[in-house]
Amino acid sequence: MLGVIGIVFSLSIFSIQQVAERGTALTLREYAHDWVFRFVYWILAFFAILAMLSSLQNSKSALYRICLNVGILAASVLVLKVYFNRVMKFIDPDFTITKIATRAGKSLRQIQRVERAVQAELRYARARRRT
Amino acid sequence: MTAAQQMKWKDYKFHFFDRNPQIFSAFEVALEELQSMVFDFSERKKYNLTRHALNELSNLLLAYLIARDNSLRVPTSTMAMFFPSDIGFDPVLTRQLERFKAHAARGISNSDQEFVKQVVSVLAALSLRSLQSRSYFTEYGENSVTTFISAYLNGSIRDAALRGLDDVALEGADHLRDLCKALIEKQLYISALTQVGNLEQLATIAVLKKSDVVLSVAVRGLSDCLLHNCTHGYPGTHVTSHLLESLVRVTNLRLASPVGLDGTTVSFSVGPFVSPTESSSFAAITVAMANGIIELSGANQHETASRLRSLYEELHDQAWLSLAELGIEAVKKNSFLLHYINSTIEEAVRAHINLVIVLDRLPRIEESSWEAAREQEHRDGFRDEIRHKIRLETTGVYSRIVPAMFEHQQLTYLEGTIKAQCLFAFWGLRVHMEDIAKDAIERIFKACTRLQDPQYKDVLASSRLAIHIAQIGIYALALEGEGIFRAALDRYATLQRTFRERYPDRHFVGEFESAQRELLGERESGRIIMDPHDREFFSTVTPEQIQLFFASL
Repeated sequence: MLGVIGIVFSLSIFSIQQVAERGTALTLREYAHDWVFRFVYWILAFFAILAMLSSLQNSKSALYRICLNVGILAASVLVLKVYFNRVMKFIDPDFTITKIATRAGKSLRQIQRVERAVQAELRYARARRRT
Repeated sequence: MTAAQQMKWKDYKFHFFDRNPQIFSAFEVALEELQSMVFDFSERKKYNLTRHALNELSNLLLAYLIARDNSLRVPTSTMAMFFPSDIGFDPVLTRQLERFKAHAARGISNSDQEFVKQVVSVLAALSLRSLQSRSYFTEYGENSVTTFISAYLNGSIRDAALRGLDDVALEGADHLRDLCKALIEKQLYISALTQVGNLEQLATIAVLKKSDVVLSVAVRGLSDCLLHNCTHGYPGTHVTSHLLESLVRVTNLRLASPVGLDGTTVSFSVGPFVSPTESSSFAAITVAMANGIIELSGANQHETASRLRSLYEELHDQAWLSLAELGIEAVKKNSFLLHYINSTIEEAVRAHINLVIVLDRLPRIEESSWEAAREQEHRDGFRDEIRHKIRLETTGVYSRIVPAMFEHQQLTYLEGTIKAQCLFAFWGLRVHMEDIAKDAIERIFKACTRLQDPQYKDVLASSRLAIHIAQIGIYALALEGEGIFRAALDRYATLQRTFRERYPDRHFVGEFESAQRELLGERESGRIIMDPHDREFFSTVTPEQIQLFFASL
């Protein structure tokens, strides 16, 4: 499992780096901060630990171990597919542009929330002064 | 929330954002990242990606402008002129606009038209959409945010035009026009005047670069704005006069260009302003407005009719003088432009005459209320004003142009001009403005007298053109205008006599003796007459009246 993590992440970083060099370095930075990337990394790491722990169980629970390992394998394939799709998206520069724009939009909405909070605070202070 | 509280919140919001610029740091970092991507992709000429990034930037900046509505630090034009310069501009917006300017400048220096067009489009979209946002500093008739952004837009278009990037200049002219129209609709006249100045500047660059294609689009932009102001604007804003002055200045400049302005180039350069067939030419605007006034006056829509009437007066306030000056310049250069000016004036006077006829026929409004009385008074005043304008646009213009033709010995377009005088005389007689007809007779008489002088090398033209005096006399006879008939008779006889005295042995086609035969022959030929002047004449007079005129000589 650890081998899978190593190979998958190394290869994808290599391909993303290639894309970043042809396009813009921001692609690599966005990739490094991507939540799907982190999620997949941690879920695969969790599966690796789980698989290791299951192998330490006694022989009485062999059936459970087999079921668990098959489950981990199936889930890993699914997670790797999600990861692969995400990498494919990152190879497309339009996705990075949209991602940065979405981040900017979120930060602006956050500012507007702060503004509304300040406005509400001001109103409250005025109302208190009046009473 | 009360108005006073809102005002306080506006101040508070402004100071809150102004004193805490770090609030926008994260937002600005993302914008800077997008700007870097635009730079990277433009270097690799990946235009679909630059377009995407620029569109995202445009959307984000629009969202920023809306979020900062009424709290943006953008000084008004008055403040920029008279206040200390430390007021400054909104840093986030300024930095982003500077980045756009840098992109455009880089694209222009690389002659990368596609990329520059994209940047200009983003600036144009931003200018247009910035109308939704106002600065903290407000001024009546101005949106300083739009003016500020449009300064960057205009700068990029101007630089591209100077560099000869015609595609950018063509699109840019359309953007400036759209912006000016939007400003007129929003009644932001100070900002609209700035755009008029920008369009004129672009047209001037086009003349200097000898690019009639760009000039045509810039002139069309100005003409479209004039039409838009005449339909959506309000009188007393100076937009009409500024637009008209700009159009006349540009036409004069093109006329003075060493390239020349002949028959083929007029319509492809300043045609959108001077060609009556163009949808937003001066003549077309006049006709459209006259039709609108007629329709609204009949439909009792007093408020709108009154606005249109005032705009109509404003449009024709100084137009006659500008057209006369343009005409004189066209005469000096012997340019085909004079033909277009004649057509423009003809259409304008026709519209005036129609207005006078319809307003005369309209039943008087029963003065039952103060509003009704005011409307009737406005209508009467307007009719008198139109009569005055007819005098200015016929006698006022041609009493300058026709003598200039002889002064500069440029008689190529004299016949067309004389025909126009004859037509004005007919129309004048129709609306009982005998002075127009009298002035026309005098002008034709003077022209014919001068033509008898051999220095103009066309003595026979004196006889050929004198037939128009006869036509005015016959037309007056048909409409029972005794005074004009006598005046025409007298002038025609004088011309005939003086010609015979000077050239007793000359016989040629179109001589005085053949005038009656010619007119009767034309009258009885039954051919379809296309010429408006001949159509007006032959549809009104009878053969007996033609014979009576010549018999009275």
